[in-house]
Amino acid sequence: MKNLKLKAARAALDLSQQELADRTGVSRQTISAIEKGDYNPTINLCRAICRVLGKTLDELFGEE
Amino acid sequence: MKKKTGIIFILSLLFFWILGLGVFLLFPGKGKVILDETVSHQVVASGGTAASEAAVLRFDVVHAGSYSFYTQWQHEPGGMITSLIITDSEGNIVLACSAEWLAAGFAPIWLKKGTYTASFRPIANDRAYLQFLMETGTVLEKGPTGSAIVDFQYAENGIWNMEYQLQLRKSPFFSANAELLFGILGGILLALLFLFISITDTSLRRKYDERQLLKQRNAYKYAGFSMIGFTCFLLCWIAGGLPSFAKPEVLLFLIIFSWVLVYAVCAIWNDAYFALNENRSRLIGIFVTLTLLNLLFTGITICNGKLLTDGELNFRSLNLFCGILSATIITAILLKMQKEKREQEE
Repeated sequence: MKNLKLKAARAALDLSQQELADRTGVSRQTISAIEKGDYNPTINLCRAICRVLGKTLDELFGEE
Repeated sequence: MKKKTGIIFILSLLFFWILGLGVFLLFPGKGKVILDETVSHQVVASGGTAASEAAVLRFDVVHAGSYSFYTQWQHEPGGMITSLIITDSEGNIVLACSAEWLAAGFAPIWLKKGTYTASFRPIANDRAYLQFLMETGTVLEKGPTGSAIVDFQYAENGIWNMEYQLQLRKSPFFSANAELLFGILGGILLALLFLFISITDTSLRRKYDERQLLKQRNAYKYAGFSMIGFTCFLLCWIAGGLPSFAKPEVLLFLIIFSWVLVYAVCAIWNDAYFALNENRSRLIGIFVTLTLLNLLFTGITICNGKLLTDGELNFRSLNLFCGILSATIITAILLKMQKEKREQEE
């Protein structure tokens, strides 16, 4: 399932996928896969993404 | 790459090449003497031809292994050419050479157990020399003297007292395939060296994210299944009695290649091949260089007619397969880049 919340949060900070990937220490393709719903990140990666985007786990990865 | 790492790398390469040189220098002429015989032969040359009978020497090889021959002959006056053909019990030629005067050692070759025959035959004219060339599988468009075949007489008429010496030495067991062994050991050493450098030099350590590690595990799995499948295919091919298309060492390498190919393509397609801190352009450049070099060596091998041995691909064909492997990897990378570009545009 696509993660539109993540995409929206990233866009709100005007970050590209590559920039978010660099800040979280993963590849751009991983961020893309998470946003497309092709990959479920581990809790550590979720927390790293939340830290960069300034959101909580529930806000980005909680069920809708 | 740190300076220290670079120095270690260069010193290791130098050590390896010196070792290889030592191998090639030490082997010829060494080993236990199995045979050392001198054969006397009187040749009557008249009317521009020499008697075609040969001086024959028979010897037994008790244990199969690597052996090297040494032979010499000389005579006065000059002119008469002598040909030496050594055949096994089935008539297969294991060694052939011809010269007016000769003192030469030959690179180690593998001899199976059995009886061998060495024939020293005098050659007094072009036609006899052409017959020798045809017997040994050498094809010339023109006669041996470069012009149309004529009965060019090499030796003066008269009686020639010839003396031929033949020596057979047992070589170290792997010397007959020293070239192949050198290549394999070299590849293993280089791989170990790269592994050592990647472990000790943190600036070169490849970093992958969690998704990439997961995809790599899948790639390992698919590569393993492919290797098993290809091995089963080869087993069925051999058990079915189908004609072999490659020597055993080539088939073993093909099994390894199948693993590498499937792993690389799966990893590339799932964005798990390149590390986070990897310079993609440099790696692509390395693969392009590898492809071109391997295809160049393959071309040289084909031009020299050494790609096949007894109708089967020999170890020199590994350059061809390495070239195909690296070309396939480059193709997968380029296709993936195209796909990513299309997705980004969408």
